[in-house]
Amino acid sequence: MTARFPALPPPITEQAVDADGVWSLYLWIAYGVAALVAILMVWVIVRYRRRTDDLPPQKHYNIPVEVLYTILPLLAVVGLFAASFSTIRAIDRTEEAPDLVVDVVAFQWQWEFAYPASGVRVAGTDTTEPVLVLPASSTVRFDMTSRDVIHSFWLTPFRFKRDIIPGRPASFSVNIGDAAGSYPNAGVCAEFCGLDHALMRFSLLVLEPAEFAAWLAEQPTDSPVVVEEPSP
Amino acid sequence: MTTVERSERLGDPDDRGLVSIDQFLATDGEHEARLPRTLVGWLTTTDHKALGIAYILTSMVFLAIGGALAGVIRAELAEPGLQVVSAQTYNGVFTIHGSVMVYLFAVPFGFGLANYLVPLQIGAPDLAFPRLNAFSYWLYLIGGAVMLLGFVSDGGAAGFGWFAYPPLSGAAGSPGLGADLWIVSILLTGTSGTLTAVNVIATVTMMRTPGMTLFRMPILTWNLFITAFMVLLAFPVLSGALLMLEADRQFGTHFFDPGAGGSAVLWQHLFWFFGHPEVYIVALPFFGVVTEIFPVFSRRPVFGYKGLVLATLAIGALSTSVWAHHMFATGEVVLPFFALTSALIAVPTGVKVFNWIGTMWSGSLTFEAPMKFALGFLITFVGGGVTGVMLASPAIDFHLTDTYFVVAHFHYVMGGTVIFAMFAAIYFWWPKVTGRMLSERLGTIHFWMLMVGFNMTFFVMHLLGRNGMPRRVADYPSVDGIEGMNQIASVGFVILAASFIPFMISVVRSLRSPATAGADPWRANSLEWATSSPPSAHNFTWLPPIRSERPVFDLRWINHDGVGALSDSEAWRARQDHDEQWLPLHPFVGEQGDEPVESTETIDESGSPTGPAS
Repeated sequence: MTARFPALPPPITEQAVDADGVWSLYLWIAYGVAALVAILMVWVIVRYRRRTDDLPPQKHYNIPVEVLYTILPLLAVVGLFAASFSTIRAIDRTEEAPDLVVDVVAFQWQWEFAYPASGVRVAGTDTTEPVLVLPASSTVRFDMTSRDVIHSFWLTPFRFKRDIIPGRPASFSVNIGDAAGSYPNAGVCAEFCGLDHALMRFSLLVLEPAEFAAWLAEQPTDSPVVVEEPSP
Repeated sequence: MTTVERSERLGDPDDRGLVSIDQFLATDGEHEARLPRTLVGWLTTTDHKALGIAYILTSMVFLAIGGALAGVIRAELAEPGLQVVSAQTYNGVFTIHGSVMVYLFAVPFGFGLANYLVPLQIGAPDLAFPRLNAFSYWLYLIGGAVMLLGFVSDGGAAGFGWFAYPPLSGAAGSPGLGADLWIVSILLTGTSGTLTAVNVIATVTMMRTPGMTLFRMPILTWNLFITAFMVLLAFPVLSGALLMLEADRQFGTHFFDPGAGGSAVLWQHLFWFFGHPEVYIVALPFFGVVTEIFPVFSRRPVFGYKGLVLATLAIGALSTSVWAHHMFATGEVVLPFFALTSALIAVPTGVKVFNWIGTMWSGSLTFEAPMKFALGFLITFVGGGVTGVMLASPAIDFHLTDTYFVVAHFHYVMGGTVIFAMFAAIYFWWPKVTGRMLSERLGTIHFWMLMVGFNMTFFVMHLLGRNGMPRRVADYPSVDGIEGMNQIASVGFVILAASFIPFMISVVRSLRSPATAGADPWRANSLEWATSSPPSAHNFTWLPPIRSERPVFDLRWINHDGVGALSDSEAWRARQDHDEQWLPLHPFVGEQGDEPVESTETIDESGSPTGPAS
């Protein structure tokens, strides 16, 4: 199978790097467990194939073994939980004083991104996806609201999504690393939201902090801005 | 294995000393099986076997409908862009696909098993409430039809996914009649399920034959019993939530309307408080199925019977405290608590896997079709189980929830396991239900096509989800990897669908052949094999003594030392004169005409070498 996956960008926030670390750990444990069961299955299938018509041993319990295979999975899942616990806390923390606040408004079936400190608003059009522009190497908080039904703000390079439930403003923050670049199709509405849910996407453009400040200063504040889509 | 001298043998054993069940059965035709032969007969039957067959056939029809809808989904996703259906139709198609598969196929198939097998496995003539049972079935059928009516209603079928999150499922979000039909349909089938659960609990509690203690019940009956309690816990919550939703839509209430002070999150809590136990309501009967099959084709007792029952109880209990892992991304739930409980449910589940392997360990395995499908179940279940543990960690779940990774995960645990175990059950009990065998050769072809098709369709979905494809989309950007993987999945689906062809051929051929399977073609363990195939009216003309969870096995191997709960022929002879349950054996092992006499003498059960009873 030669199909590549250009679709998944690398993790660009500290939280995403942490989440990918947990993912790798879990993935290898999952491979290990699947391999263990596969080996045991192949063993019983090959070794205990019926060779004679005699009745095999009828022992139907083995308390030490049963205790062992209860305790070991217990230790494994509690260990895995503990290993991901600090990451869960770190990802779930919301920054009170970030470098930048972005207001995200979700509605059927588009996004609008506003920078409240400067009054700039970014929107899409009927035919183009909106582009979320963010500064590299900075802390960003997203304050999100929905105008109609439940949406979910998912940025694949963040390895994170948060549902946007009408009537319940939601926030989360990320520490973006040195990751300037353009991430087409990185933004997705992940909660099914009706007819054109599949088209409710956006792109991400990360600029160096100085470039970002310059870009923000150039934008008009009286009407929503349509940003040129970054070329893939 | 030592064999007793031929002169001491009991019953009418073959060369190896094995007792055949068929010789105990009445052959006078007086008790022959009678399924309804007319339409009115089917409409009015209260026989658990007829209703069990009706349940299973109906659920298979819904499986075909759900599968056809899946075909529309895979056809649409084979290429980027909209080629086959409109976005609106697509949304209806995946909603009804999920709803049909969960509410109208997987759960009712389990109820069909409960209908047909629970009375047989516990030695009862029928379920406790036969007319209630018939009522449940007709509610289910009508409920299912109501859901499908959505496709011909104004505005099309409900298009909000099988968990119907408001406000999208509210009056403004989904104005059409299809949504109301969907709600009414789930209410009807939910009520049907609740009534069946009551019936199963009453039957298992009150109608076990003497000697059938709780810890001698077959694991399938145990699992259906525990499932019934979970149904009683979960379904009424869903029914309540659905009534609230319908009131929001039609009567102007605002339970889930955030614009008027309602809460959209409340629905999610109520739904998933039903929804996660529902996953186990679907799965537990099928866990029971394979636990019946592994011992038979390994010639071993269930390994760790009590541990297995305790694991099932633990799953049932834990499943009520994990629901919010479906809501990690809402930011409205306590992450560590639900992450831990969700991860913990892997422990009893893992115990089951090791019990199944322990059952086969040091056994004498053969691989007839039921065993093949049971092993297929095991592989699929482990594949879905490990991704379940991954999704239990919010750090991973934040990225993967609502993507194709989740689609892959639950199609492994709720799709593949159900399909494999369902076919294991069909191949295993087909001779009991029809008196005929299914073809082994076609069964092998069927198994491998299903195995290849299933994994080809759903394994790539893990990669799709991890790499950014959200679920429930009619369209996706044309990116190389995403497009290629979707094409693999669509081709896999064609193989998966084609795997039903050898099965259908096998069914038709089998039904046209004479009924010669006999009572016990697999040399199986539990009581349903102690009656004719198909079972006679009111099931039994005779019952073997029940001294372990394998009464039929015990009788078959009675002439072998160290086998069977009553291994000792002296014990057998001592017993026969004063235990009414043994009376039917008299023509074979005792002097006819003996009057049973009261006696306080009992056999020490703890001395039994295979019985798990204490």
